This record gives sequence, C-alpha cells and structure tokens, in this order.
Amino acid sequence: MKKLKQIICLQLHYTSCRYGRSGHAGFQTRAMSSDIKPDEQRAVERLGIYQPPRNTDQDFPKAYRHAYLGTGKLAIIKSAYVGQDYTRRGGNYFSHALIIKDRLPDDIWPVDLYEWDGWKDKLLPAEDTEDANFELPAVTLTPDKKAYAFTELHEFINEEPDRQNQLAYMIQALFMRRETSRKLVIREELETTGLFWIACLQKSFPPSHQKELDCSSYQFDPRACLAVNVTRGETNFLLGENERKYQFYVFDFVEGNHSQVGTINEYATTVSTWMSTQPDRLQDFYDFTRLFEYDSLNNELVLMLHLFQISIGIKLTLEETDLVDILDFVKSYTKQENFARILQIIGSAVENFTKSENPAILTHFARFFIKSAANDSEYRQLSYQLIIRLFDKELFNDSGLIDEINALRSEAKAAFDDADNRAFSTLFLSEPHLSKITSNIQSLPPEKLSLAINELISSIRALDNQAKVYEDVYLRQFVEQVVLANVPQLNQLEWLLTPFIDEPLAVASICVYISEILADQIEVRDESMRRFAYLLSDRFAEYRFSIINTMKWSRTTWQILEEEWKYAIAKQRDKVAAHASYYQHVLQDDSEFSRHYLPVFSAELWKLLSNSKKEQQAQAIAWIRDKQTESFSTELVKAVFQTANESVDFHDRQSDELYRMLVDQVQRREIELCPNRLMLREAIIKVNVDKFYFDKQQLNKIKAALVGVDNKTYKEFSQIYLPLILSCLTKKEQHGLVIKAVFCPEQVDIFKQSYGLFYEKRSAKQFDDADMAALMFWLYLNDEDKETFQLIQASAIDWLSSRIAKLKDKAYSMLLREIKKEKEMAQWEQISSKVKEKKNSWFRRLLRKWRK
Amino acid sequence: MWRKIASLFQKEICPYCFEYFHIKDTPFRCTSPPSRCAPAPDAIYQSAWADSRPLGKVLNPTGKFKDRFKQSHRCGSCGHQSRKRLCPHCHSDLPHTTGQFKNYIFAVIGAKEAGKSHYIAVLINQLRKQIGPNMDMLLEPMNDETIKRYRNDFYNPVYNEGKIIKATDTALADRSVQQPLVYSITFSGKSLLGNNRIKKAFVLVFFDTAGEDLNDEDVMSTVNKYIYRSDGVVLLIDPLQLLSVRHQVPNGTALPHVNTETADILNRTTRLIEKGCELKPTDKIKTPLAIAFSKFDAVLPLIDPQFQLHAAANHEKGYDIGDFEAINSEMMSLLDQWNGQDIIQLAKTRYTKYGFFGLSALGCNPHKTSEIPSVIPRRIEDPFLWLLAQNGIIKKVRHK
Repeated sequence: MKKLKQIICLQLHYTSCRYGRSGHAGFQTRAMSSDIKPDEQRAVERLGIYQPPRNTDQDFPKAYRHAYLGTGKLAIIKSAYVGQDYTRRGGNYFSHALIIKDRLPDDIWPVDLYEWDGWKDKLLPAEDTEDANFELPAVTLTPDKKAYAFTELHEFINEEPDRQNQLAYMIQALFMRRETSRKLVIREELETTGLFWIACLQKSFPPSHQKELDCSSYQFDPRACLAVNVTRGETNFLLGENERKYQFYVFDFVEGNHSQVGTINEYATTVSTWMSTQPDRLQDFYDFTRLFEYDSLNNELVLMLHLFQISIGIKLTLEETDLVDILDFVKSYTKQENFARILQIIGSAVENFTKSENPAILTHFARFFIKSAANDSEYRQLSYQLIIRLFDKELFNDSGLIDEINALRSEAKAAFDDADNRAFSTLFLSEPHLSKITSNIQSLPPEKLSLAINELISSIRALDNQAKVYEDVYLRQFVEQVVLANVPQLNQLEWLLTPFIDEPLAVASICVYISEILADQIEVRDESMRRFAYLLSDRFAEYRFSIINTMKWSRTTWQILEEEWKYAIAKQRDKVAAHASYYQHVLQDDSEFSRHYLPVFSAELWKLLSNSKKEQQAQAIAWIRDKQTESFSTELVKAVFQTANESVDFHDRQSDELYRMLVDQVQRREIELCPNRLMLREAIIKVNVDKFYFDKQQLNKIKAALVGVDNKTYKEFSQIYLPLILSCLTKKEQHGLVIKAVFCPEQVDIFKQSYGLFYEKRSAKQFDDADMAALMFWLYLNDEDKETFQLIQASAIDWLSSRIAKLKDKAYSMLLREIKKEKEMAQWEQISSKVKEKKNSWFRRLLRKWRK
Repeated sequence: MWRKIASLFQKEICPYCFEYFHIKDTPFRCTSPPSRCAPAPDAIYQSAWADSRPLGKVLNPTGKFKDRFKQSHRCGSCGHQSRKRLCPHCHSDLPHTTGQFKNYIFAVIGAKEAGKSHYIAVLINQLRKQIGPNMDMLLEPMNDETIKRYRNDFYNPVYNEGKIIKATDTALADRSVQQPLVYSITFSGKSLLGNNRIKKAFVLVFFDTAGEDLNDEDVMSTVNKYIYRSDGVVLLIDPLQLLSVRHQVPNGTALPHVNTETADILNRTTRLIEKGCELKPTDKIKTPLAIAFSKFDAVLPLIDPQFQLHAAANHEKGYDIGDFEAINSEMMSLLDQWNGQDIIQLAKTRYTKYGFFGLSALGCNPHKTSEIPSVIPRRIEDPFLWLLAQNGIIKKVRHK
C-alpha cells in the first residue's frame, strides 16, 4: 500500500479570549506557530471569521475553508461556533488555521485535509490563562484520502439522480467565474452534503488547479465569499433573483432554485460523468495532469482532457482549432521531464488527426515538432514529413501556404541544425513522394510545377552540393514525367527551364533529354517539338547559341533546333543578319548538325528572302564571301550566284572585290550566269582608253554574255561600254564589229540611247578618228549590215548628222575636205542635207545673228 | 442652496473610506435592473472591500466642469439615468444627499466591553422613537445596509431577543465592521407664516468600533481612520473598569473583565487625531470629545443622591446647556474621586471642547446573565445631543 505523504503545517488559533498574543482581551490570535508571517496571520484571521446562522441556537455548522495566501502557502481553516466568550457575550468562535509549509503533494486535494483529527474547536476556560503558552508547534498531517475518496464521491453523486447534472453545472460555473466574477454558492440542509459538494468540486479539477478553488463549507457573509461557498440557515445571503442571476451561481438544494449556467463545456460533462460512472478514470486523468506545469482554471483544461483521452486511445473528433490549441498547450505547459511521453502521445495521434490534410493542422503539428523535438530524429523526420505534406497540399490544392512552408523550413533548419537541409531533401526525393507528385502532375499549372522543380533542384543540391543537377536521375525522372504529362503544352515548360536560366549547359542538357523523350512520342512529336522550340527561342535568347551548340551534338534535338531556327528567323526583320549570326555561332563548325543544316537553313532562308531582292543579294554575297555555298544544292548555288552576279556594278570600283570573288568561284564551279555581268564588267574593264588594243577585246564573249540579257543590265552595260569603246576605235570595221557585238535587236531602243550617247559625248571642236570610223561605217554599210542594222540605221544617220552639225566651222571644213576624198557620196549627201538642215534651223540662225 | 453651491467647490468626505473627494469626480453606479443592464465586477470596490460580487456598472465622470452640477448620469449601455453616486476612492454608494447635506461623522470608541454597541443600539432607537419627536427631529436610515445591520446586529438582540449584543469582531478580521450606519437627520418646524416645513437636514454616520481595534495605534490608524475625520467622538468608559469603583460597588455586582486602560485609549485617540489632522504639538484638537461613563446604573449607588445625574434630562427645545454644565462638573468630580484625573487633564489640555457624561444604555447590568429583561436607558442622548449642539446642528438652550 502506498504510504501517504506527511504534511507539515503551522498552526494558528483565533478566538475571543482573555489572554492571547495581543496582550489585550478580546478577539485575537490566541496562539500560533512562530514561523507564521504577519501577513499570513492577518489573512487566516480573516478567513476564519464565523457568524452563526441567525435561525439556530444549537446546530452551528462547522466552517472548513481553504485558500492560498499571498505568500503562496495553502491555509486550511476550521472555524467552529463557541457561543459566549469570557465576557458572556455571544458571537464567539474558535478558528483553527493550518498553514501548509511546503507545497501540497501532487495527489492531495485540500479537502483531504479537512478530516484531520487534530482540529481544535474551542478554548476551554481553564486554558484561558495569563501563563498559557501562546506559541503553537508545527504539526504533521497525514491526509485522510478515504473520507472524500473518488469512490465516496461516486456514491454521493449517484445518491440522487440529478446530482451528476448539477455537478456538471457547478463545474461549468467555476469555469465561468473568471469571466463573470460570480462565485459559487451552494445552499444545503446538511453540513455533510455541503462538504461532499465541496469535495466533488475540488476533485473535479486536478490538485494543481486548487489555487483558484478556495472553498468555504459554511459562509455567512456574501461579501467575503470564496470561489465555492456552502451556506445554510439564515445568513446574509438573500439568494433572491439578483444574487441568483447576477451575483452568484446559486445552487439552492433547499428551495430547488438554481442559477442558469448556460452551456456546459466538455470538461464539465466528461468529469461529472466520470465522477458518476468511472471514478478510476478520473484518478488516472489527474495522474496524467501531473505531466504538465499548468494550474489555471480555464478552458485549457479541456485541452488537457483531450490529451488524456488521446493517450488512452479514445478516438476524438476535434476541430482544427482544438488541435492547434492542444499543441500550444503541450508546448507551453508540459514539464520538461515528461515531454518525451507527451511527444509520444502526440506522435501517435498525428496520423489520425492529419487524415484530412488540413493545412492548418499540418502546419501546427509540424511547428510543434520543430519546436519541441529538435533533438529527436524520429520527430525531426516527422516534422519534415508534415512539411512535405504541406508542400504537396500547396502543390495540388493551391492553398496559399508557400510562405508558411518556407517559414517552417527556416524554423526547422534552425531548430534541427540542418543547415544543408539534407534530411528534408532525402524525404523529398524519396521515391514514394516523387511518385506522388509525378502521378498527379498532369493537373498542375505551370506555377505549381515551377514550385515543384525548384524544390526538387534544391533537394538535389542539398544532398550533393557539387552535383550537376541537370544530370541528376531524380530530375531526369521528374522531367520525363512532366514532359509526358504536358506533351501538348510544351511551350508552357518555361518553369522547367527557368531554374537553370543562368546555366546554358543545364538548359541544353535538359532540352536534349526532353527531345529524347519526345522522340518516342511519334503521334505528337512534331507539334511538341515545335512548341518546345518556340519556348527555347523566346525564353533563352541570351544563351541561345550556347544552348543550341550543346544541343546540336545530339541528333534527337535537331528537329527542335530546326523548328527553333525557323521560328527565330521568322521573327526577325533582318533575317540575313539573324542567319548570319546563327551561322557564325552555330553552323560554322564542322559538326554534323552544321553540315546537315547549313544547306537546309540556307535554302529555307533563300525562300524566305524571295520577297526582297535586296536581301537576297546581300545574303548571296554573304554566302559567297563566306564560301558557304559549297554544300548548297546546285539549284540554290545557281540562284545565289545569279543573284550575286546581279549585284556586280559595271563601273563602281567597290564591286571589284565581289567581282573577283564571283569570277573565281563561277569559273571554278562552271556556273552559267545569265546575263553574265561578270563578263560584261570585264569587257568594260578591258577598254583601256589610253592603251587600247582592239584585238584584246573579247567581242564574241560580249555577244554571248548579252544573250537573254535584261533591259536594265543591257542599258547599264551599253551606256557605259559603247561610248567608251567606240571612242577608241579608228576603223570603220572595228566600229561595225563593236556595234554588232553589243547590238541586241530585242533591246533596240536601249541600244539607240546608248549609241546616241557616244555621239553626244564627242567634242564639237574636232571630228576625230573614232568619229570618222563611225561615219565611214555608216557611209559604207554593206548589205549584210544593212539588214542587221536596219532598225538603227536611221537613228545612227540622224546622230551623225547632229554630230556634224554641231561641229565648229573649222572642224566641219576639215571634215568636208576629208569627205570629198571618199567615193560613196550618195549616203553622204543624205547626211549632208540633214547637216545643213540642222545648221540652218531657226535657232542656229538666231544664234549666229546674235553672235554677229 | 448655499450648501449646494459650496459643494461644487469644497471637498466632501466619504463615510466609508474617509477619503476626501470633489463632487465632480464622483462616478455613478447604474441602477438599472440587472436584467436590463448586466452587473459587472468593480475592481475598485473589490480592492477596497474584498467583495467581488458583480455590481451595477460604474459610470465614470467625464471630468468636465459641468459634472459639478450633475445630479445623475446616463448609463452608456442601457440609457438609464442613475442617481447613485459613488465614492471615487472606494466605489461605495454615497448617501444620496451628498453635496446637498453635510455629512457628520460620529465615532463611538471605548475599551472592550465598554458598551459601545449597546450604546449605539439604544441611542438610535431613542433618537427615532423618543428624542426625535420631542425635538422635531427625524432620524432615517440612508440605505438598506444600515437598515439590515441595525436590525440584525443591534436592535433585534437588544429589543426583540433581550440578549446582549455579541462581541464585535476586530475590523482587521471582519471588514463588515467597518461599514458605518448612515442616517439622515431632518429638522422640521413652522415657518414664519406658520406652515410646517423642513428646516434643515444632515447626514449622520455612526461607527461602532471593536474595542480590540483601539488597543494598538497602528491598527487604529488602519481601520479607525474615521476617528480623526469625525465631527465628534464619544468615548465610552465603563466605570466598572476603574479600580476604585470596582472596590466601591456593592457586593454581588457582576464585574467585567479588566480591560485596556481607558486613558490609554484616549491617549491613542488623541495622537491619532493629532497625526491625522496634522496638528502641531501646541494645537488643541477642535473635534468635540464627549467622555461618557456607560453602565452608569451600576454605579448609581455610589453617587450623591443630590447630583443632577439622578435626574432625567430635558432637551425638548434644544440642548440644555445648564444641565450639561451640572452633569459635566459632577462627572469630573466623580472621576476625580475615582482616580481619573489623568483623563480630565488630557481632555482639558488637548481638546478645545470636551464634556463628561454619565449614561446607561440598558438600565441594567447584564454581565451575569447575558440577558436584558427590559431596556431602560438613562441620559443616553446627552453626549450625542451635546455633539450635535457643538456642531451647531441643534441649538443650545438653558432651561430654568
């Protein structure tokens, strides 16, 4: 049998007597233990006041009271009515107070000390002497746990059918006392019943909570009420409506008139029920309460009750706020030495309470374990699991928890001294967790996927700081799942690559991987790759070429890169420059990709440039200059050179380089140009005015080069070439050969203009050999030539006439002298008449007159 | 009217905690039925009286000048206009006449068993039933507490049960002892035109003090602060406590237990007043002091039959100053005979106004049986009326 603890108490006797500690007669502390302090003495004197009920002369109830004094000590007082004092006046009472020196043992309620057999009820006249000892020794109490044992209280409650209910109301009233300042007043006929009510109420709360439960088993004055008061007979209590409804919680078992208490809380219901049906459980509950350092009588007791119920396996359905409060309670009030046990209880309940995945509950559990169990790996693990569940909640439900999760992780880091977050990362990367994420990935919007990938990356890095994350198997698996799940929306995969935005190598690596995945998705491959290519082009412009250069080594990426190129080029206004840049960065090497795609992209670009001749020319020149055309198709090469050829200027020296470039390649590659501006330019170049050799002129080649020539080229060429070469000729045959070589019947008008230029540029002061060669050619035109030049002959005669007409008189005279030597005068006559006509025009006449 | 105007500026005294206050600072307590305006805990009241019962809501003053003229305050919660004025210091209900009538505080002090409670019990009854009607004076309790306390603690034991009043517990233990009995005293008479009218009214506050509380100066200064704030002190002396009297009384006279020296109590009281009123050693105390020998019926055999003390007093038209002078000198001579010169000397030296009286509240000595066969008071009103006269509440007359 468990040995009851002994309690050491100081004593005080108070009564009206002749001799006491005051030195005067009257009400006073008659004797007391010397260790009682003045404040304690004053307090217990007040607590001991006794006024008998007015309507009785014999049955004076004893007043047992207990209260905690200002010094924190428990005082238990028994006051008994004595009647007359030494003056024979009534109203005297004897109050015996015990002040417990130390804290009351954890399993003792004040009521257990009420039945102490050492109480003194009165001072005998023989004791009231001057030489009496006014000092009392400290006494040792042995609590009487039987008198108000739970079994006794159980019997008491069950004696009357309504007592359990009334006890619940009383307990509730005590809960409400703090808020309402209404104290509990029980009116009972019998002193014993009152004491039992007090015992029931005291034992409805743990021993630690008795501080706020000071009790008076008999109370006369309503002004000096304690928390729980029993009254009987006629006292100063009116127990009318005012007191019953507003000043006290009255339980009047004499009149059957009780105060309305309101809704009974769970604690009151449960404890009153246990008191009535399972007193042992109540005892167990109080044993349990010793695990906590908590002594306030308020609704948090319900939390302690819930914890107890959880600990004994009762399945509770609790609201979120209740659980949160329970955790707060545990954190705040659990005794250090009992924390492990409470953790165990909470830990075992986590699964049950977090089934609903309520974020608030998860958060609070996580925070609880972070703050409370930093040293225990099991609970650290549990905390992380809860954070991960919160993370998943956020991922799949958009619960707005991200800040909370981050806060929790920071707290966990700090609390667990897990700076590198390895534990969390291991859990995060665990196969079941990743499976959970990937299995639901299809439903996730990009921002959630971004959240997931970031966490994934962090976790991988946490486990291996040096790891190439983009090559990590977890990431690869994740990417695969994501890509497969998001195949139709691959242009929305920005979130997947964004974490690597500064790591082109990583982006490229992931892209390669994605392309490998897509390669197997035959049905959706093209469209997917196109979309992905768009993403690459749009999002990673800064590192585009780095990424492409990495990707191009994998043949699976080529389709993506091809789409990327197309998309990028299509976007650019200056496609030539864009492609040039692409070429410079990507296609210049000897990679397989370059070899394959240089002609492809070039051809594609050529098509794209078809609307702009200028751009085509620029591109053609660029290609030729860079010697890219080697791998081009014949058709493209021809088109390119032809276009470049068109850019060759006949007289601009700047074209020299182009010319040389083209000449070299055209000859080497035997490319036929039409018109061959190279040849035409060469013809012009070879006309060296200062050192002219007619034989060196390749008139045949010119003739060939002008086959199929366009008007523009022809005009450009003829207007330069004809005046230039004709002015160098000295013989009529030469003149004829030149104009035969240059003349194209299809462009007769252009020829006329160009040929006319020759005459226009001639000097009026002389009629030189070149002029004479022209004149002679046209004067002695043979039949064959006549047929050839019939279209221009008239014009030529006309130009010649004009030329001659413009000659100065001296030159003209010389011409006439020369002409007379010639045989063919018929033709000359025709010319001469025209000359005269022109010389005698009204304008010339006027001019001459004016000169005169 | 003058009193009303004066009250706007001068300080009033709380008859419960004896602190001074300005009328403008007084809060009110909502007097709505609790069902209409829920009572609330009043921390100040709880602190002052250790009574935590919820009470009507406290309606605090705004501190504005117009508060000086306020006779009521509207409750912000229920809209009820309350007239229940509270002491700003202890939140006790002030008499409703506060600010209109002056409060007169009378302290009844004396050693243990001096008969203070019996004196008050019988005096109040006599004032209401006999002396009052004779002097056109009406004494009315001001509140329920006074009615209940007087009835339960004073009147019933003496008049209904014929028992002596139980010993008064020390106020240190029982705070209810500190609750005063508050009465209004109203004087009526005929006007110049011959109509009946109320001439003047006052508030009288009686304090019954446990003898134990006068045994220690520190205790007195704690629980008997009212003494130095009072307008008159009745010091009751049990002549049977005087050694010479105890020797002279006839055999068989029930003698009380020897208690504290009366001179000691008077000494302590004097010091308390001096300190409380911050008097210089050379200042005399202006509070009238009535030193009354209670239980005088027990010593009547020792007194010269020619003495005025044997005669009944007649204060019909006012306080008979001639009677007082006779009684005063007779009592001084008796005290001189009974070795009470020190009391006389103390009164003469330290008090401006003092008087010696002899009275009997019960007219019998209940020491032996603790029972009161009948209440036959003798000259019980003398000290009280003398104090009223000294305060100008009743006029002094000299009967021929």
